[in-house]
Amino acid sequence: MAPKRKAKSVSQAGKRAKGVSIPSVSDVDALAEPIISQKNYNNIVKLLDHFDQVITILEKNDDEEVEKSGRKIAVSLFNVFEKLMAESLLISRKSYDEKKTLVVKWLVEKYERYKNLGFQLVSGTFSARLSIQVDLLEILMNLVRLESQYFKSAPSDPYFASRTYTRAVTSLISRDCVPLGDGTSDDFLVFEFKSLFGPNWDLQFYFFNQLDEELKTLKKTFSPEKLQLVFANVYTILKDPLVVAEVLEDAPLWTNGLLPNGAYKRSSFKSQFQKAILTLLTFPLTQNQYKSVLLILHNRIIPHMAQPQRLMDFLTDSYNSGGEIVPILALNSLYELMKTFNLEYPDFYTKLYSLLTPRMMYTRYRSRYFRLCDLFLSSTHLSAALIASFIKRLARLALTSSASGVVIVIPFIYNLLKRHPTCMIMVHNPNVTNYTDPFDNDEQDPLKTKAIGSSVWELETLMTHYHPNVATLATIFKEPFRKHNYNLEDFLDWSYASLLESEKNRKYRPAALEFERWPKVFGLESYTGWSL
Amino acid sequence: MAGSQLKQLRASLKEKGLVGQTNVKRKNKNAKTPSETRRQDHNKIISEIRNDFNQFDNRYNRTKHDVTTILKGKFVKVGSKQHNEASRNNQSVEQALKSQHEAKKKFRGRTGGLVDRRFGEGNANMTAEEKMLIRFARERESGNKKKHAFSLGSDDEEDGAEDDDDGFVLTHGGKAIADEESLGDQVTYADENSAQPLRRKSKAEVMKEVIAKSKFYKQQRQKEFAKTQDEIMDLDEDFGDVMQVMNEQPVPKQPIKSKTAEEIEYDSRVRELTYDRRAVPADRTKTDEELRKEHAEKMRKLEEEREKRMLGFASEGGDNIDDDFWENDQDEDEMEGVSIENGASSDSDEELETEVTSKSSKPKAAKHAIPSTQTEFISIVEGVEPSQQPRLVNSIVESHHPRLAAGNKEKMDVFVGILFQHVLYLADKDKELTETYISILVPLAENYNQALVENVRTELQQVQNHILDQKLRTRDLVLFAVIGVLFSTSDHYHLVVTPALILMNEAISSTQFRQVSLKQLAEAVYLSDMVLHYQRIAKRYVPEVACFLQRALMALVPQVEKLGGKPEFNLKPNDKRKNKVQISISGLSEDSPDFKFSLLDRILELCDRSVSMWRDNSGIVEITAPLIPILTHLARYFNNELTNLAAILTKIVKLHENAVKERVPLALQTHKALAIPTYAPKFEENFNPDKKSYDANRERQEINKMKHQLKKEKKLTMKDIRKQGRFSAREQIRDKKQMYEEYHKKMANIVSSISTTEGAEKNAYEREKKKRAKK
Repeated sequence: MAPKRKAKSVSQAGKRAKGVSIPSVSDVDALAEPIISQKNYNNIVKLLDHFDQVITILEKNDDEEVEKSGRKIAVSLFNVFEKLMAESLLISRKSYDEKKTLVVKWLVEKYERYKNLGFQLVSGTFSARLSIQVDLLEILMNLVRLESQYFKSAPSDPYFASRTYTRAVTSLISRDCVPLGDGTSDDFLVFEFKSLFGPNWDLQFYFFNQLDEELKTLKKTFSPEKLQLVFANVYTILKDPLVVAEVLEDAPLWTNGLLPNGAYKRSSFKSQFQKAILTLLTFPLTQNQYKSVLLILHNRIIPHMAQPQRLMDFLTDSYNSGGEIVPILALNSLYELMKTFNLEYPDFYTKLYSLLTPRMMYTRYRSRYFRLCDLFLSSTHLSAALIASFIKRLARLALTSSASGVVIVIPFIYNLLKRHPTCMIMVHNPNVTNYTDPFDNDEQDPLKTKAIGSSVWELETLMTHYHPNVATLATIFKEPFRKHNYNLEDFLDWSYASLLESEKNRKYRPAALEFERWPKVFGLESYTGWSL
Repeated sequence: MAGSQLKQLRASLKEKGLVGQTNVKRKNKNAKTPSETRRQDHNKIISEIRNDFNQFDNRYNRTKHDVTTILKGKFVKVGSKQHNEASRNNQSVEQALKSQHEAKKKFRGRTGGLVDRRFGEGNANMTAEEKMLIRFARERESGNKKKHAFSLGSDDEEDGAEDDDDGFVLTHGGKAIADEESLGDQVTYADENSAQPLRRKSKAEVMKEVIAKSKFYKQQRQKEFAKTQDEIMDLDEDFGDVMQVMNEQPVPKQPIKSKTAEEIEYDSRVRELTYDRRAVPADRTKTDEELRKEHAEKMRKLEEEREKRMLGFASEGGDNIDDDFWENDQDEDEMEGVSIENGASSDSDEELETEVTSKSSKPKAAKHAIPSTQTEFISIVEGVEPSQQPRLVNSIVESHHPRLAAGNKEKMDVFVGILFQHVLYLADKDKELTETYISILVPLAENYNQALVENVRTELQQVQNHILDQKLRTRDLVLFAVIGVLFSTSDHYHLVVTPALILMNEAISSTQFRQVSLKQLAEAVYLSDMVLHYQRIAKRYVPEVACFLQRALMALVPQVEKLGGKPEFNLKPNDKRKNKVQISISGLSEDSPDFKFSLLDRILELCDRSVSMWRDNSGIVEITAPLIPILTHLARYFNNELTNLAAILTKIVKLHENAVKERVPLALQTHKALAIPTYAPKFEENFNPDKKSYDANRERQEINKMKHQLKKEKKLTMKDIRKQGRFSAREQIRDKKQMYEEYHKKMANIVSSISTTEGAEKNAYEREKKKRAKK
C-alpha cells in the first residue's frame, strides 16, 4: 500500500504544481473531525474548496483516487451538516442572539454552496459513470429528508423540503443521456432515482408538483435535442406505475414526518400531474419517443390525470398523423377517452378504415389493431355498409399479407359475418346477371364504398393458400356457419416462427418424392432457370 | 311494591336472597338460598329481575285482530288454545297411529316366528343331497370351534368335552351322528338296545378313536398300494415274453454300411434341389412400344397418386379444418394424405430393391470403405477426378447395399446425409459437381427416405436462423432448389416442402416494407421463383409472392415517384441495356444496370407465370389490378430493353379485362339451408281449466292418468310412513322417560325405606346404649 500511495502523492504533486491539491482520505478526516467537536467551522470552507476542485478535476478526466477522496469529502460534509441541523444551527430562530444569528447565516450560506456543488455534480456529465454522482444523489435525497425533519417551524408541523427536492429533480432530468430505442434513457442516475421514486408517495407528489414549471423553463432555454433527452429521462421515471394506495395517508414516505394536507389530495396531485404531462407532450419528440409515450398513455398516464380530455388534441393529432403505427398506438388511449369521458370523435370509423393498409399487415402492432378493431366493430347496430367495407378491405389485404396476417383476417371476417348476417350477401349472392363489381377501393368513407354489393372473391382465392392449415381455415366460408364465434385471441399472435415450430414437432413419415426428372437443376433450360 | 326504582330493586334482590346476609336462619327451611343453588340459577334470577325492571324491553305476542273460525260447529278463535288443541287432538290419524302403536307394543316380544337359517334352503340349484352334505360339513366346522364364549368348564377337557357339543351335534339316539358314521358297523342303534343307558363319550375317548381310525385307514391304504405295485411288477415281467410271442417273424439284421463319396454327393445334390428355385420362364423381351406403354402406365399411376396427395387425399376435403391446430394443439394424424403414399413408396421400394439385387447378384468386393463423416468423404473424394467421382460414389453405394450385410442400412443412412451435405457444401465451390451430386442424390432419395428427410429438416432449421439474421448463404438458396427436385412439391401437406415454403415466404416477407439491399431483393426474387416452381402443378395461391412482385417492381422501376413510391435502386430513365446477363445465384451482390435489367426480366417472367398460374382464381382481378399500372409505367421507358414486357403486359391486361367481364358474385353457401329449431308455445284452442288432459290418444291418456295417480299415491305413502316414523319415535321417547321415572321413584322408595329402618335401628341402639350406661 505504502508505495502506491506514494505514487499517488507524486501524481498529486503534479497537480499541486498547477495550484490544485486534493487531500487524501485521512486528511479529510482530520479536517472534518474538529468541525463539530471544536466548532472549527472554517474547515467547512476548506472542505468545500477541495470539493470544488475535485469536481473540476473529474470534469476533465476520470481519476479513481480523486474520486475516492471526493466521496469522502462529500460524506463527511454531509455528516457535518446533519449534526449542524440537529443542533438547529442551519435555521435562525428568534431566540438566538445577534452573534449566533450571524453564525447561522454564515453556515446557511456554506450549506447552500454545498448543495449547489451537489446539484452541479448530479447534473453534470463526466467522462465516466462516477459512483460519486450516485453518492451525491443519495446525499441530496437524504438532505431533503433531513431538511423536512429539521427545517420546520414547529416540530409537529408537516413540512417537505420541496425547494431542495425540486432542484435535485431538475438537475437530474436535465442530465445528458442516450435515448434508447424504446424511448427511455440509459442514464444510471435516473435509474438510481427511480428506485427511490417508485415506492414513495411524497417524492412522487412533489416531483410532479414543480415539474410543470421546471419543464416550461427548460423548454425556453434548451435546444430541441436537449429537450428530447429531458423527455427520455422523465419518460423513464414515468414508465413504471406510481404508488397506488387506497388511502394515500398509508402510502410509504421518504421523509419521516407528516406531509402538508395538500399532499394527500388526489385532485391536486392529478392537476399537477396533468400540467406536467401536457407540457411534456409539447416537447419536440422523436418518432420513437412519440410511439413509446403513446404505448404507456392509456394505462400509466390517463388514470392519473384530472381531465384526460385535455389529451384529446394530442391524441386526435396523432391519430390523424400519417404513417401506420402512430395512429394504431393512439387508438388505445383514444378508446379509453371515448369510453370513460364521452369523447366524440368525428369520422372515427373512416379513420379506422383508412388504417387498413397493406403495410399494416406487416407491422408489429397488427394484433393490437385487430384487438381494438374487434371491439369497435362488436356492436350489432353498426350499419351493414360499414361492416361490408371492412370485410372487403380486410379480404383485399389478406390477398397480399403474410400467412400470419391471413390467419387473423379469416376468423375476423367470420365473426363479422356472424354478427352482421346482412353481410352474408358478400359470400353468397346467387342468381345475379349482368354483374359489375360496384366496390370502390379508393373511397375513404367506409359508408360509401358500396362494398355490400361486392363479393369477397379474395377469400375464395385464399382457399388455395399454400399453407394447408390456412387453406382449410379459409374453407369455413364454404361451409354452413355453424360455429358461433371464433376466439380471436387464438389467431392474433401467429408468426412464421410459430408456424415452423409446429412443423418441427411432426414425426417422420415417408415423404413423397418427385418423379419428374430434369436434366439439370441450374443453368439455362433447367429446373430453376437460374445458374449457380 | 312501592317506592323508588332503586328501592324496588334492592327489595327484590333481597327477596331473592342475592344481597344482604345469606346465612340468616330462615323461617322456611325448605327454601334454599341462591348460594346453595347452582350458579346458573343465580344468573337466571338476575336476568329475571332485570326483565321485571325493563318492561319496555320485553316482547309480547298479541293478536291485533281476533279472527274466529268454525271448528266442529263451534266458534273458535284462531290461535287460541282451543283452536290449537282441537286441531291437534282431533286428528283421527293421530289416534289411529296411537292405537296401532299400542297394539304393536302389546305384542312386542310375544309373537314368534321361525327364521330359516339353514344353508342353501332357498337355493333351487342344489340337490337335496348336496345341501345335506354341505350342511354337515358346516356342522363339523363349527364343531371345531369353541362353542360358548362363557362356558366355564371349557378349559377342562374332561368336563368340557361333555357340554362342549351340547345342543350343536346332530344326534341319533343320544349319540352324535358323526361318531356313528365314523365308527361304521360298530354303531349300535338305539332302537336295537334301547335298554342301554345313553352314555356320552368323553373328548379324549373320541380323539383316541379318531386317531386309531386314521391309523387303521393309513395301514389299509399302504397295503392297497403295495398290492398294486406288485401287480404292475408282475405285468412288466411278463411283457417281454408276450411281445416275443407276438413278433414271431424273425427280421434279418442289416449291417450299417458307410456311404460312398458319390452317394453323399448325390444326397446333398438332392437336398439342394429341394431348396432350389423352380426355373421361371424368362420375361419376353419387350418391344419398344410395350416399354413405352409400360412407362406411360407407371407415370400415369404416379400422377394419380400425386393428384390424390395434392387434394389432400380426397376425404380430407373441407371439413377437416384443424381447429386444434389454431389453438396450439398438435395433431399428428391431420395429414391423411401422407398415409397413402406410405404404401405406395414401400411398393416401389420393393420393386427397386429386387432390381438392385438382380444387378448386384454378383457381389463385388467393397472397393472403398464407407465414410462416416463429411470430412472423411471429402478426403476420399479430393484426390479423384471430378468426372470419376460419380463412379466412385456409385460403387460405394452399390457395395453397401443393405441387402449385402447387416448394418449397411445404418451406414448408408449416414452416407446419404453426407451426400446431401456435400451438395450444399459444393454450392459455394463447384457448380458442375453440385449438379452431378444432385443427380446422384435423386435416385437415393427413394431408398433412404428417412435419413434424407431428417437431414433436410435439420438443415431447414439452420436456414431459419439465417433468415432471421437476414444473412442467407448460397447454399441455403441451393437447398430450396434441391428440395424442389427431390420431393413432390404439389402435396397438400408435405413433411419437408411445407416448412420449406413457410421459410421461403418468411424470407420474402422480411423484405416487405423495409429497407433492404439489392442483394436481398434479388434473393427474394429467386425465392419467389422457387415458390412458384413448387406450386407449378398445385397452383396454390401465395400472398407473399403476389405482394412481393409489386414491391420488387417498384424498387426497380424508373421514376417511381410518379407511382407514389419511394426510390430505392431504381433504374434511371435513360439507362441502356448493354448485354443480357444470366443471373447466377452466387452473384447476386452485383449492382449494375445490366444486372437490374436482368432482374427485371426475371420479375416480369415471374409476373407472367404467377398470373397464368392463378388465372382460374376468382380473385385474379385483384391480383392483376395493381400490376398493370406499374407495368404500363415501365413500358413507357424500357419497352425496347425488356423484350418480353409488351407481350406480358398485353396478356395481363387482357386477362384482367376478361376476368372483370366474367365476374359473378360468389355463391359459397349453396348447401341446404339449416333448419332453425322453433320454440313457439303450443296454444290450446278450447282451454278448460277442469279438463286435465287434451291428449287425443285415449290409451296414452289412460297411461298418463295412471302414472299421475301412482305418483300421487307414492307421495302420500311416503308422507304417511314418515309421519308414522316420527310418531313412534316420539312414543318411544315418552315410554323411556316414563320407565326411568318409575325406576328412580322405586329406587328412591327403597333407599328411603332402608334409611328409615337404619335410622330406627340406630336410634334403638342409642337408646339401648344409654340405657346400659345408666345401669
